[in-house]
Amino acid sequence: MNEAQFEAFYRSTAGSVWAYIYRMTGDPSTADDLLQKTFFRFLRSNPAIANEDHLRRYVYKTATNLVFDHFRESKRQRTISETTPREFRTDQNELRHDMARVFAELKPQERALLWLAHVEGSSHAEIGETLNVKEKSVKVMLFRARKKLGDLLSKRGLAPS
Amino acid sequence: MNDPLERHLDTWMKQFAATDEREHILPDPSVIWLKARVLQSAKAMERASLPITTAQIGAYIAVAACWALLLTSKWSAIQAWLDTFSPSHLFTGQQAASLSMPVLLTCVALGSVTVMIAMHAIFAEE
Repeated sequence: MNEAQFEAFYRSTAGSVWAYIYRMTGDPSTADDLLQKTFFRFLRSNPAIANEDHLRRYVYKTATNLVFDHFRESKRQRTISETTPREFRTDQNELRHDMARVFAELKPQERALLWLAHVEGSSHAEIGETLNVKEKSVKVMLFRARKKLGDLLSKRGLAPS
Repeated sequence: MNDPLERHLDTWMKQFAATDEREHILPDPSVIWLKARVLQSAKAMERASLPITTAQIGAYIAVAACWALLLTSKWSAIQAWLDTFSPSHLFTGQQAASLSMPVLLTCVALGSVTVMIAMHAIFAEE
């Protein structure tokens, strides 16, 4: 992949990948940082596959791994010192919408599942590949994540009538 | 998507995704490209210098082991030779103990190698 190809690919994917990372972490600066790391890893892998969908899935998979690494790291830091008491920033200024607050109550994997399924429109097989889980498990996990989100929305009176 | 909950969640997720929280523009792709290339070069350099670093560590260990071996096996001779440099020996004019030629040559050689390695380490740091 040359620079021009990378630029075209980056322009077509970076925005949605940033949104995905941001919705997973809830922090824009972390999203910026992880987005750069994602594309560094992407370039380091020396991608030569012509299929853009495959490259896109690879980028999402890398971003997901980095987000989960970030959660593991922040969890470890929290056990060493209690300087960061909240896993997810729920500052009113940061999360402008009720939607974000509801979404933040889900587990990282549930957030990833719902985002990939509903926003990215990924199939169960693609989600499985991105999250390193079996396709069959995706179906069950997605069902549970939907139910949980439905319950959270019901609690806030946002469920469908 | 027959389930009403699933349909509602799908709409909800799409609305949620449409609320763009980005406050600034994304990093420029050319900057990412350049940084990635720099990182790759640094990694390649690190890989290339790995045998040299290993050899350096090996040299430190070998020299330290040689000194330890020499000092433990010839300690009595070296101690006797060092004692001849004490003020009492110099004052009384007692005959100086001498080291055997192989031991002396080994000490000189090891000393030279130690100085060389130390100088190399100092200059490499700088």
